[in-house]
Amino acid sequence: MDKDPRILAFLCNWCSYAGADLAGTSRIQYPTTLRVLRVPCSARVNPQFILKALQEGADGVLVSGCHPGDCHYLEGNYYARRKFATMLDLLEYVGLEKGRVRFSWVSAAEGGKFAEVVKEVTNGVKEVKDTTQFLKKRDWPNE
Amino acid sequence: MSSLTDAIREEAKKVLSEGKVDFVIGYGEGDNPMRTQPVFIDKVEDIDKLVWPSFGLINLANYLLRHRNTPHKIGIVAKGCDSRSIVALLKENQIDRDRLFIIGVNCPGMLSRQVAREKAGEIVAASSNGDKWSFETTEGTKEVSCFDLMPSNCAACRHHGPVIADVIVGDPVTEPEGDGYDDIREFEQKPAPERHNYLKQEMTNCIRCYACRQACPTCNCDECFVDITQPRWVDKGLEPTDLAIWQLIRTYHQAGRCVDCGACEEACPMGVKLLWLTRKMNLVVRERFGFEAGVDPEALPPLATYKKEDPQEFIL
Repeated sequence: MDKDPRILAFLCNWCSYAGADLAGTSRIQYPTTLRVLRVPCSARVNPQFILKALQEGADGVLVSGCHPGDCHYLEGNYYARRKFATMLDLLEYVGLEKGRVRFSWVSAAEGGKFAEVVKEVTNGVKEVKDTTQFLKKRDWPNE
Repeated sequence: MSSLTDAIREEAKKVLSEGKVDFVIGYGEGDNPMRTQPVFIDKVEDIDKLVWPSFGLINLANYLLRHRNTPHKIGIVAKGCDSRSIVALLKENQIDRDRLFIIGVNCPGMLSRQVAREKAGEIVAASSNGDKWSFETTEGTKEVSCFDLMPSNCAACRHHGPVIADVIVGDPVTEPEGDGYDDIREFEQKPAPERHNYLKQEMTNCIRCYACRQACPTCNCDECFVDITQPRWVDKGLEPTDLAIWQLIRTYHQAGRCVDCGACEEACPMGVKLLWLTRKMNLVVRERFGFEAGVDPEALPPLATYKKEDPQEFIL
């Protein structure tokens, strides 16, 4: 795609959101493609959120949480991992292009990694040929 | 009448007359030879209404849900998949085991109206002669053998016998080799755009009547996500992405719960290939977490538990 992609990012309050903050305060440069939504935990992200985001016009979706073992709620990200694994397999089965829905673990100390993740995800979404899969057609323009 | 019918009637009669149950849920004849309806027998005189059907792709465990809060003791006729559904319901505390008397049936497999419609066309009358069915269609009479009328889930079934039962009727069925998911694996090999087009094409047939949801014993939420208006997860209407997302989320909610009974697909008035999605979900759960719904009464549902070493190759 030619234009800058718009990626909806669900960042967990305790790790990835703080990691994004660190990337900012450390003045690390990364693409401005994310629209960040802060959630209490990666397990808060219902797979329905992901589909809804695609339907409402997100070119990509990133869900990011704490590393396994570091969850603020002890085990939320373990459950999240199982949920995302099943949902991602199902989405790929029905032909969702690879690279549109991504997951990552970023801790609060990993500002550099956060920037790398954003770059990687942005490049992945740029390579997607058809971002209109699951885009809801409305009577008015989606823009 | 088949020997299974006789055996089911005999067992039902026994439990009813001994007063072990208040009523028995079983299969009854529908209004035509290709229809089966549930019957609720509470008197021994009515026992002849129980049959073992040919086109019996309904899941009787569904009817237990209406008795979640009643005091009745219930007898239920359960083929392999129905018994797995009962296990799934027990696991989710939907019903007490003490209240159930399960008449398990070693099921040789059912026939599907949907498949018959695909093979023969618009059917106006049907009759069986031995291992063949002859269908009178709008384009003349067609004969189809029973084997060709089996739906994909029965062909792939590896649990013909009941998982739990108080009494079992019928001869055990030899389970075929393999895990039965070859058709799904074959479909996975197709390129992604082709798979997506298939989804679009199948889902545009959906009319959102929710017959699939109503036919399914594990679709038992008090309020389904499509009916919720705040927040409104899926808009009303027949917009293609709404249709696809409704079916995808329904499938996702079946992860580790779907027993592959095929009741949803058989209930669909539009012939949408729903098992194409739910069977993939079953395969994912099986390959990722080594879990099969309704087989082990002790095992925790896969999305309600975790292992520290779960694979995470997809996570950056």
